[in-house]
Amino acid sequence: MSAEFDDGRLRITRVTAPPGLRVEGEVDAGTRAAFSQVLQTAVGRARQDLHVDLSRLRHIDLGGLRVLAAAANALDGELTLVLAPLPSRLRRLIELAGWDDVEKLRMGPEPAGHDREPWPDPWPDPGPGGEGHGEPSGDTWVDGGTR
Amino acid sequence: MSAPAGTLLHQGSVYGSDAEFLDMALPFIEDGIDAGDPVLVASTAANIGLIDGALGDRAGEAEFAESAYFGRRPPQRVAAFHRYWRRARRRGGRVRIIAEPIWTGRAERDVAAWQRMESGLNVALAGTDMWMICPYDARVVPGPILAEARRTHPSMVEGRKSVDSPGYVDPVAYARERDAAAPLPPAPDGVQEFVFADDLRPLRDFVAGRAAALGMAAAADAATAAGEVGTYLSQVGGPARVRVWLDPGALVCDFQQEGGRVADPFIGLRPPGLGARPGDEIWLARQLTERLEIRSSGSGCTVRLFWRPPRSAVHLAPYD
Repeated sequence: MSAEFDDGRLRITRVTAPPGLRVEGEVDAGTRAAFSQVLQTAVGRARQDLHVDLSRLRHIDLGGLRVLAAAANALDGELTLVLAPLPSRLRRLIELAGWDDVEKLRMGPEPAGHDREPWPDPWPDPGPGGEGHGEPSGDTWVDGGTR
Repeated sequence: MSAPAGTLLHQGSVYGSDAEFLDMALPFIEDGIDAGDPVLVASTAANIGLIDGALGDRAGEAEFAESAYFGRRPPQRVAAFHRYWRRARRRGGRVRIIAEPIWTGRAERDVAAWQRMESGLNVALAGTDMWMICPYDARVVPGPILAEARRTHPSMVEGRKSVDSPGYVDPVAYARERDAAAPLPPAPDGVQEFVFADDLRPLRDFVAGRAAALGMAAAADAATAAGEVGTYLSQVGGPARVRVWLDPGALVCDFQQEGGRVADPFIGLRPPGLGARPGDEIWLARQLTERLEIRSSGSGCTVRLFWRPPRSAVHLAPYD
């Protein structure tokens, strides 16, 4: 295990089982270029699905999520980029952006225990019909459609 | 009625009875089903029931969503339409949507926000080829709102007939008119402020800390939304200052950038793609807030984010 990048704000470590990267710290305009570069390198050498662990990430902005979606699309052939474990907050941001539609980007389960959320969210998604403070991804609800 | 292919068709329709609603909606839906077009009906429960009954066995060939749950606020509504279009168009055909906005029970400023969106759809969905009809129920919708529909839809549908709206207003002019009519109240005095340039982490920490101190539990959303606005402002101008305070009806996060100007009144209304576009950051901020207002003046620009106020004692009363 070795650090691919570490500037004190963002730390990216290469992991081997499953093969991929662990990202810690913050991805924003100040660290996005480095994040993108490390991901591109990993995409270039990927021979299997690329796993990215974001569970220790304190913050990622829209531009950082786009880097992930673009990296997934850049993978060879049938390879996919797997985000696992994936905190529910980040899953929701990806769904809001519509990048859950990117076929080569797969979203894995939440981290066990949820204990690495930077801030607790005591207003969880109430589901469709609920009055939530946090905006649920279930804000959009379509019934039917059998075609 | 024919519709030019490949471009957005966004029409209004005022109806005064169940029969008038069906005269407009049924041919639109049945023609769509016959043509193999994906059809979505986002309307009231009552109207969904009417269509369901009238379509009979064919009801399964359309999709239904109650308006109240299909985008609770305008930016979510736009995102929901866009998401449906992205997914449904893969099946082929031209996506058709009945999109009935809900007006009853809304605060005046929310009515204004929905009207601004009705106009903004002409811009935000311009890159799609969807055919959208927005029905307005004259039995319950006040006259001024019915009149406004003719200013926000280029044409109106009556039965199968399409009639151009002579009063239609260009969306940019419309948005400027509405924004000018609703200036933002000044910030209260003595609110702690934070000045930032491109140091976004301290900005996010400041907003998260202030929001949490004021009782907002979803402070992470506040930090993310503020970070996106900060990212945008730092790209387009110099330092900006941010303040967070509690209004009677909202938790407010206010950005002021001297000399800044946001020219596009629909910035951040279109969902982001895989290629970055200016203002995508504002799009995410809109998704994560109850309301986001932007005003520019000679001296600079203001971006103001609103969330629901923290839970009050009223909610806790049963447990006291």
